[in-house]
Amino acid sequence: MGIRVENIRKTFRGEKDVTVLDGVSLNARTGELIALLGPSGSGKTTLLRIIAGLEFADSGGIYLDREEASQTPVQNRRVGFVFQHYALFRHMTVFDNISFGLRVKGRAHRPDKETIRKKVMELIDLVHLSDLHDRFPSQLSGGQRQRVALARALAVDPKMLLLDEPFGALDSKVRKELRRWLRKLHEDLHITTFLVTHDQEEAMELADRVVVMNKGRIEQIGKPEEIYHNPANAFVYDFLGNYNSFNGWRRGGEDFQILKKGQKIPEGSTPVRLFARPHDMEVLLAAEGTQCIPAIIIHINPAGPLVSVELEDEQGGLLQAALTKENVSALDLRKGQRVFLRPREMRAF
Amino acid sequence: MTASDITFEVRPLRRPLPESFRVRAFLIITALGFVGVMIVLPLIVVFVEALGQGIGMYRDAIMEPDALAAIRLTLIAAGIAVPLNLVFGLAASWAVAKHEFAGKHLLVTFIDLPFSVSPVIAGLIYVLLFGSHAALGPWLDSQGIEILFAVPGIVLATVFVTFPFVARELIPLMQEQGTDNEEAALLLGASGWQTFFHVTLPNVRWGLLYGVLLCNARAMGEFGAVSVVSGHIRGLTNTVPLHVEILYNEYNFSAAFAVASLLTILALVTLVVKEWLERRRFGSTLQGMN
Repeated sequence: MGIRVENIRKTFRGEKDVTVLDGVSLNARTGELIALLGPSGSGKTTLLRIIAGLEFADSGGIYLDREEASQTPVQNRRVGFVFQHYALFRHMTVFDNISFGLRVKGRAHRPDKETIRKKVMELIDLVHLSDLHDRFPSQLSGGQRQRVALARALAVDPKMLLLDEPFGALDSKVRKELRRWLRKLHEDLHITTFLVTHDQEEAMELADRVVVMNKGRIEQIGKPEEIYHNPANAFVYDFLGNYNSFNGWRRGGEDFQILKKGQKIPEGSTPVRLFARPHDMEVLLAAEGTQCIPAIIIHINPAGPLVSVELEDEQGGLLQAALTKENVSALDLRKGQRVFLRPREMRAF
Repeated sequence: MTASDITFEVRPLRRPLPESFRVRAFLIITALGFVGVMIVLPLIVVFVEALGQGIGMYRDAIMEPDALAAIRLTLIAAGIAVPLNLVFGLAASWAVAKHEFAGKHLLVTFIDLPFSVSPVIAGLIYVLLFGSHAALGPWLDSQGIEILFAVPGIVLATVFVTFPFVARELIPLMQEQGTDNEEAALLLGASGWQTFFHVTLPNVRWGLLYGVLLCNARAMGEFGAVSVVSGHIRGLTNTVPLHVEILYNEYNFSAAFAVASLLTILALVTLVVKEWLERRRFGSTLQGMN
């Protein structure tokens, strides 16, 4: 199902009114997996709940396959929804949880018992829980519960899947495993899917397109690689990883220049804020060229695929560099050492 | 490190309080003694007095027509008040726990009112409302409707005093459970009623039973409010507690204790069931939490 969201606005009234969605528009093509990525309070969950029909927008429209659906009751939207905390029915077995959506159908549409049984068993196989169909949710691990929740959502043949931080309550190993499994499932089933997450790695790995949200607005929509390599603004850049920032300037179409201590911006150039990722920082023992920043190493953490080095510049600001092990041992870096940092690549917004 | 060192390290965990044997013995004996004198002893006295004149007298006291009428009236009053408060309690807690609306706090405050008002006042409210000198009295008279000094008054007073039990039990339980389950059911295509009966109700069933049990115990045992509106007409408007009082005032002690023993048995059964329910409920909350 294609889903179009048009200029959605939503304000929660209370002692202090909070605008959670401030004119959001986006378009999901049939079969696409879209990640809604943003910090908490960015409005991503509210947007998901409005698409599901659990919440209503103050203005704007939701179009499901071109049909305006903002007045369609939640039961008729054919939504598969997965909650962060599973929301399994605790007094029902795995089997009963999954068959619930089929059992509550009106007599005219309800499949017979045998058909339900077959379908539920197929779904239980799909989520790899074959031996656990008569267990209660309390007897399952977090990862198993979330797979039951997904099977339950799939049982009603949803036209779209809405996942609200589905792996948020799981530990990182299970999270990665389920992430891979979900990607494969989506490739097989091809249901239009919205995934709400605050984990940029998760969004990048799973989504066809990522929607970065902040304070009720969309900051950028694009393919993961577009978002990562061409962030539209400082917020997106910041949200996608660690960075160093410096004051600098630029004259005409020339390269960015870092502003040194005691230096003034030359006449006829514009001041800019410059950003560089830690892995784009070069550490030098002696100054080379004009783009070097003198700094003192304050901490070296060699645990990890890259060695992360923390430094302090002359103004006392914190800088970070990520180097390979070989690089660190070749330079023989030590805590307290005076070095020079040179960004290989910089960005300005 | 030797083995004795290890036990020395473990011991503080097993005995977190450093009180001496004497202090502990004193505390335990005081507590047990107090419970014994104040609660267990009177309980035994009820049964000793009730059976003191022999089992025949006991049976006669209970099977006597006025006593049977009192038992019947108590059962009627509880039989109406408990289902009414069950429905009301469910509706109120559903509304309070799962929805936002203006006047919610006011509703919660009013639900608690019967707990803070003396039962005698509760009875008087109905006298002032339906009595012959009151606002509604003459009109009710002219319509031939009897409320005060009749069964409807007793039922009303019982409903009033047992009003908070179910709601008070369910509101915190439902609030703790949140609305995720209901939303999930609606998203799966269930109607409002299906959601209520298949999801909300089973989730609170032990809490509900617990509330109903306490509500019933109070409905059958209520004295103050019912006493004011009853008029104490033997065989007509006497409930079991009122009947006990009448017998006692007539110095008919063994009969009074015999009928009282029925209420005591009710209390004991309630206690046992309550204990069992608390375990079930605690178990199911644990299930929900994991």
